Amino acid sequence: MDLSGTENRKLDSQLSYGVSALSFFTRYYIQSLLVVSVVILAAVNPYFRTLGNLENILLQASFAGIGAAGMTLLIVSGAFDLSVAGLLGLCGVLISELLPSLGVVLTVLTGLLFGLLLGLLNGLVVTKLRIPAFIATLGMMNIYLALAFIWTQGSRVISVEDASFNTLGTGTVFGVLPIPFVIMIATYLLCYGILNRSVYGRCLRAVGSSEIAARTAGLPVDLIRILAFAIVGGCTALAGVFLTAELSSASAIMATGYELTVIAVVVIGGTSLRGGAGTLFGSFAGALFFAVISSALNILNVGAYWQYVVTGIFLISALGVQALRSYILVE
Amino acid sequence: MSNSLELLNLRSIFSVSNATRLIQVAESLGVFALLMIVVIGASIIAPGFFTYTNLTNTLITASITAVTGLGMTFAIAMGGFDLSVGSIQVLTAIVAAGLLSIVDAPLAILGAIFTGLALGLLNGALISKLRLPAFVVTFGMMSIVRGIALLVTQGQSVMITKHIEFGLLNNGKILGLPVPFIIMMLVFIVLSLLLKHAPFGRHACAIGGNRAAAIVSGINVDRVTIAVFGLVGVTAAISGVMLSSQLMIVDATLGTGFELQAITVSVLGGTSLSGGHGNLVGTVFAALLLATIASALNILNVTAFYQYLALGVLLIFALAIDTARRTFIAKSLLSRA
Amino acid sequence: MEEIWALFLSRSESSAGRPHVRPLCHYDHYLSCRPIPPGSWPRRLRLRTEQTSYQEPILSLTGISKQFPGVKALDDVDFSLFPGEVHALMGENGAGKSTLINIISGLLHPTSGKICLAGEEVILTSAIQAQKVGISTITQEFNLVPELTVAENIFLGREPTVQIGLLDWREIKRRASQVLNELGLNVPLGQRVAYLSVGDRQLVEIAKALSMEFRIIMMDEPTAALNAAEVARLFEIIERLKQRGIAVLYVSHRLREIFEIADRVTVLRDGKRVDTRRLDGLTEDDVVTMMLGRALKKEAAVYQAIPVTEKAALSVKNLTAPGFVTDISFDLHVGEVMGCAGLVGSGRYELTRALFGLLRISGGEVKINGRLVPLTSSNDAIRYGIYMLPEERKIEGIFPDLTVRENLLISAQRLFRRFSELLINADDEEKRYEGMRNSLDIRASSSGQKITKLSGGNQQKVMLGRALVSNSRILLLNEPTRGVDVGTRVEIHAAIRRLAQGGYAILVSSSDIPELVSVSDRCLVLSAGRTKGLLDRAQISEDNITALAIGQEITGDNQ
Repeated sequence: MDLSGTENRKLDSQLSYGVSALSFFTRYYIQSLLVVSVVILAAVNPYFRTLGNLENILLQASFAGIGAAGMTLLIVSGAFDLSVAGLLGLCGVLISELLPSLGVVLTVLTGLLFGLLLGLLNGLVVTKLRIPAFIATLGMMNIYLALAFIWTQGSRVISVEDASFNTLGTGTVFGVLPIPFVIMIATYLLCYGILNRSVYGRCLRAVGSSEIAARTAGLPVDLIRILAFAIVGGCTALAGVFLTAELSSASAIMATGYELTVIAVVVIGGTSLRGGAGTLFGSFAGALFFAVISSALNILNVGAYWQYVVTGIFLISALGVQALRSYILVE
Repeated sequence: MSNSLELLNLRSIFSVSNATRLIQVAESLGVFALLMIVVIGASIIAPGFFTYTNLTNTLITASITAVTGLGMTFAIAMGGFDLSVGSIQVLTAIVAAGLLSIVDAPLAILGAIFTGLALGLLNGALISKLRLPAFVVTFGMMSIVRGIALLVTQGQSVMITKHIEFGLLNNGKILGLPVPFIIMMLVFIVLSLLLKHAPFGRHACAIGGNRAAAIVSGINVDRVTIAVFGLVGVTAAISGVMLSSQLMIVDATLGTGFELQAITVSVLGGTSLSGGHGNLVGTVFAALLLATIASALNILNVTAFYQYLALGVLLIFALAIDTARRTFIAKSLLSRA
Repeated sequence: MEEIWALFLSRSESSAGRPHVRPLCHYDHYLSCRPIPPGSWPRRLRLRTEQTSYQEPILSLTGISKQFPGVKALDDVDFSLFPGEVHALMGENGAGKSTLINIISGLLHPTSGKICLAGEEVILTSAIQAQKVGISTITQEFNLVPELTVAENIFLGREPTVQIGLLDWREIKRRASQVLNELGLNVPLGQRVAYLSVGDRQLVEIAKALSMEFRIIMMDEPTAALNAAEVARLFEIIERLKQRGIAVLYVSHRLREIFEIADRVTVLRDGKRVDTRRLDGLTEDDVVTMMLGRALKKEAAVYQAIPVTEKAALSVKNLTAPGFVTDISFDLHVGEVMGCAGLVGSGRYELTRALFGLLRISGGEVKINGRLVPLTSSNDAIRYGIYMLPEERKIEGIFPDLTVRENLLISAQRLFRRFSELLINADDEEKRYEGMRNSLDIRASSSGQKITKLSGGNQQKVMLGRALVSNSRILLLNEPTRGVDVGTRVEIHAAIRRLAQGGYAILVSSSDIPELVSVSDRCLVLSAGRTKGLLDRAQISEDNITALAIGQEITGDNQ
């Protein structure tokens, strides 16, 4: 078809403005949504505006957020990890048990190491046994949960007495920013560096983009995948440290539904589930967004049960937005 | 026109090569053998396992899992799966329990099943029409439906006080066999007919086996997808009705992990995740196996949480074998060429 | 075109005597191979029965052209197919065969021209619609569902049912048996297709086509994956199809088969139809002349083993990859460019994959610089200094989400080999990218552009660049200039030769025979997974390579 004439060209440029505007909004839609919702809520509700509430939002966002950083990297490589709820519970239980004897620093390090090892185990099951990631990790979740249950002999809750440890969860930097949030920023910076500035990150994106091409290019696909799972394990354990500190306790079911929240955060942040490309900035905004929404639901006295419904709806509609985005790009 | 009665004779009328027959039989036999071993072992180790009451209870538990497992097998044969069955089960259980205070049992059951059907069709529509990946859609629905269940009950339990003849669904016996088992057998027969002897089931398997070939053959993939997910919703609803009849008091926290059970019994029963065929008999055996293990562990006073462990380990084990089997077949075919 | 060929062809103008064609054996008696007495050339091996009356064509194409951006794949092609005939379609790679088949099967729309089916004009909108009007295409990728049985596959989508909606097994069995009996196929109806051999699967596809009462069946390289017995069976079935009045369009490279089975042949060259002739009275040489545009000159070739004067960089002995190649041996030296020729199904590509660790090797040994190496993964292969450029860049080459620079440098360093190489050094990489961009003239707006935005030819250059920066001294290049324009092609060939001189050992596997001629020091020719010949410098010519690849024996005084 031959387009000619100024009429068509004008239409063309108008169309391209519309397309690029739509493209911008679908690309940064979570960030836009976040800003819009914060502005609206702050305007409407006085309690929302208080510093205490904002601090709380940052704190709550960091639990899912830290886990989402690692999960973003894993999803970019084309896999999922549904075992993080069990992994977190198990790490939390371990930390609370070890704290009295090992002290804060050593306990935290051990907990992180344990998380890394569990993640490695996940990676091995997926790559060496060649089981699809989501189902393998679903099974592993059961195993981790069961181990945590057995260790705590039921849902016994271990309380954490150590004050210095608990400040990890409740303390603030500069009086305003909760410690977990600061660590979350650090984690995101680290993960951003890994994903976009390191050779390994490039290999991650390559594996997610086309596993066949990655093998043909000589990349050690299994190793790359296993490391990604280990990173998720580490991030989850880190989130577990802070959650345990904030709750001053640990139990096997302390993080039920965690995997849903984390994956929802990543998807809603704009990272495609097909892999190959991911946005950590999006996951960051997504974590904040979910915290804002749950805070809003609390303040507006809407039941906590709405969380489930809302998370699910956002997850599905985020997919819809991604589908829309790829449709636009094709046009 | 053929005599339909003749068709219900499920004896195979084709000649099949020995190797194929061996493999197909081995698939079903594998789980059956495992089941026999566990049953015998349980009878020996756990005193009180082989009592009428205990066997009945085990059978009932197995039937509830098996019904949804059969539906899940159908979905896996089509190349998809449904992570929301646990939530659908609990919601339909609540619907049934709630409706019983207003209407009588048959209508309540109908209402619950209709709910499950609607949710299943919604899943199917989102997946096929909007081209969204099955995993995330059903993952999200799992959360949404669970939330609806929580909202509807506001965290409270729903007790069945009126029309308590509803409990007969669980406690009644036909020919000495518990009613849930009869229900499960009926579901099994219907789904077997659908999967193996109806164009609908063959089309579903075709979509799972080679989607491109199915499209080229003129199969309406969207319609079949929506129908299959609707079917899964219905089986989840039947499980929900059976569950509420068993417990007579339901709340929104039930059924967590049920989807994992359903997938486990399907895969353990020999249905491959890559799609193309579904082993319904194996699913039933696997459900019996799972229930037997749970029952034995209960009797031995082993903590319930070891069951979780067993479930997880079994799933991974079953999947690893599935992968190994597929690799073996691929390799042997290659060497024949 | 001719001029460029002239540049690279090393034609020796020796006039050969009439070549002696030795066919395998009389296919009618494939169970007992009986060689045909010599001196009976040229003749067809079997008395074909004429089934067509050549009255009314079942399919006729007039003035079909297909324009792609930048290239005209088909130029005003007229073509007609009569019921009951076996019509062969031949042409070199790029002549337009696949485009024509895709148009007839409904996958592509012609830019201009008319298609008439049994006298009525039709517009083929899609593959499904083409099937509905009676055109069936059987390709390498079968449209069968492996987990379903033979009978179920034959009737997929149109199953006969009884009143209550269940499948009518009796009817299915009756009709399926009928169809299979007609084809003489002895496969159990209840057998899952997954357990059938490739040859049997193909026949199930044909049975499916028969049961749907197709009038036209197109077969694209049907014998590529078949053994001799299966080929013979296929031909008998084609005969039966003819008897039923079905028109068969047979696309193949294999001259001998065409002569066995086809009634007429249409030859395409450069998108145009050269001629359509009855095969009576034609010789194989005639057909090849039509394909190439000039006569095929074969020389008396004497095979000589290259005396191994220096240690081979890559030494391959009796290499077998089950199902693909058998018993391949050759040596590749530093400073040498070895070509690898062969048709579809010859195992050319699979050989390079096996050498790169991507295909299981069941027998033989591979030595690199004299050292025996196990090649179990591509990572291993790179460690030992081999790198392979894949054939299909779309599927197994490019990373669609990554940028041009990233695609280029993805194999440049082995992951975690050195601590200093953990982070990306942007300047360093930019320099390397620039260097490659200049040498290969890659047209990209910037190094950060997404690779999917580049044209095919430029993507190919990036792929080639990836192989070149991979630090491997032994390169296995598959179709290195696919999609690249003529001018750059010459540069790439020059670059390959320069690399060899600079200390690389290069194997170039290609379906483009002039390319092999222009770039190779020696040339390995494969056919059906085995070595057909190893030509040294003096023997390399387009004609010799073509002859060997097609399956003709080149004989000399020594035979």
